[in-house]
Amino acid sequence: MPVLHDRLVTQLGWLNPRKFLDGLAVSNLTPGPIAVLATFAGYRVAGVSGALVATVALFVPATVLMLGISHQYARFRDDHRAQRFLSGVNPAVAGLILSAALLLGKSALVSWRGYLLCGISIFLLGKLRWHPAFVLVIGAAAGYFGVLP
Amino acid sequence: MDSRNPDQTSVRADPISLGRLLATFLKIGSIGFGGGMAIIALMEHEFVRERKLISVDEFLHGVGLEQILGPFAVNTSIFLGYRLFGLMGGLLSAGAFLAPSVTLVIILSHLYFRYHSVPGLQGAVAGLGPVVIALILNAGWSVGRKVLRSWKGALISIGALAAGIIKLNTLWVLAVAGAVGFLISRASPPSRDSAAAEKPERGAAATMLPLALPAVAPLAAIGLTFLKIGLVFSEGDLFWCRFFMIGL
Repeated sequence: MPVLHDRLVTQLGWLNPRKFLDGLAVSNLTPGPIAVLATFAGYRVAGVSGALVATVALFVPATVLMLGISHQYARFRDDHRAQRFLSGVNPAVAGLILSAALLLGKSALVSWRGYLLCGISIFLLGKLRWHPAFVLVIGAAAGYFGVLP
Repeated sequence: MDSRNPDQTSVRADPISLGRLLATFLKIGSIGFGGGMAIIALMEHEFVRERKLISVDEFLHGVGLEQILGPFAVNTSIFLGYRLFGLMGGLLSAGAFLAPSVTLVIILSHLYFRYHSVPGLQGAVAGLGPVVIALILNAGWSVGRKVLRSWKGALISIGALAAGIIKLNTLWVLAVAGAVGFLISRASPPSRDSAAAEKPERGAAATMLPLALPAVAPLAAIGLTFLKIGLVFSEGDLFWCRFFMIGL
């Protein structure tokens, strides 16, 4: 994100800081990764084709690398040294996932209603095994009708 | 294109067709509000819990490897697609996953630059925050349950949790955790290393090293070359957490 900010705002001047923040808001409000901000900036500069080019270009290097990594993974997965290493990585990933929830919660759960909605969601997801999409719709509806401050 | 399906033996459940896989990624791309870990949570729900296409362990490996390039959820879609359908699967999965977001953002960008605001959206999104957190907690619990059975795993998890909260670099956290796992898993099973006498053991290690190197060296090369990129980008997810709330 700082990298994107530096290039788009400081170096290229495609967006002013305010538009950059708005772009962040738009890309956070929408499904998908934050890097979709590139789509927003691309659209600003060159319309739909700009949006497509910006998005593809942003993802090409990481995609190629990730394919390479996935390929290597298939090879070294059964190596017992690699397995020992990964036996430490796995619990760490679980810990990091939880830490993301806590970090988000610090700013997203600001009222008792937020906690209530979060609790209900955990119940619906974990106990009743609802599909995440339905639970997300409930959250969006609650927010839309102003239930959350 | 799905003919090349190497060692699928470790995955026990019914195989998925490529079309079905892409449909799943389209779906996740469409409902994946919140980006980052929320998407990981959705993928865990679909691929590990519901369809049992991939084991928890492998899924966590994928999420861990993804961090090398910075935490872009799209990398996990590539990993899963590649694991199930090879190169083509990886590429198509990434495309399917991104397509809904890109379409929606183009529409929203259009609205934004025309009207300078996107009405009604802000309110709805305020309600998504708590649900996204529930989603992540749910996924964390689901993958953590298995890992936490051993006290060593639990300790590493707690350490990573703390490191995540104080916003240490993800890549370093995973590297340290891997090194710790490497060291303590050596001590626990009485393997052939410890059975061997000291001198032969050293000899064995020396001969094993060149054997192990070709497997790990290319990965290490990739890892090192892009460590820089990883260092630049890996703040992304946490940064995102902050901006997400500014956005609200």
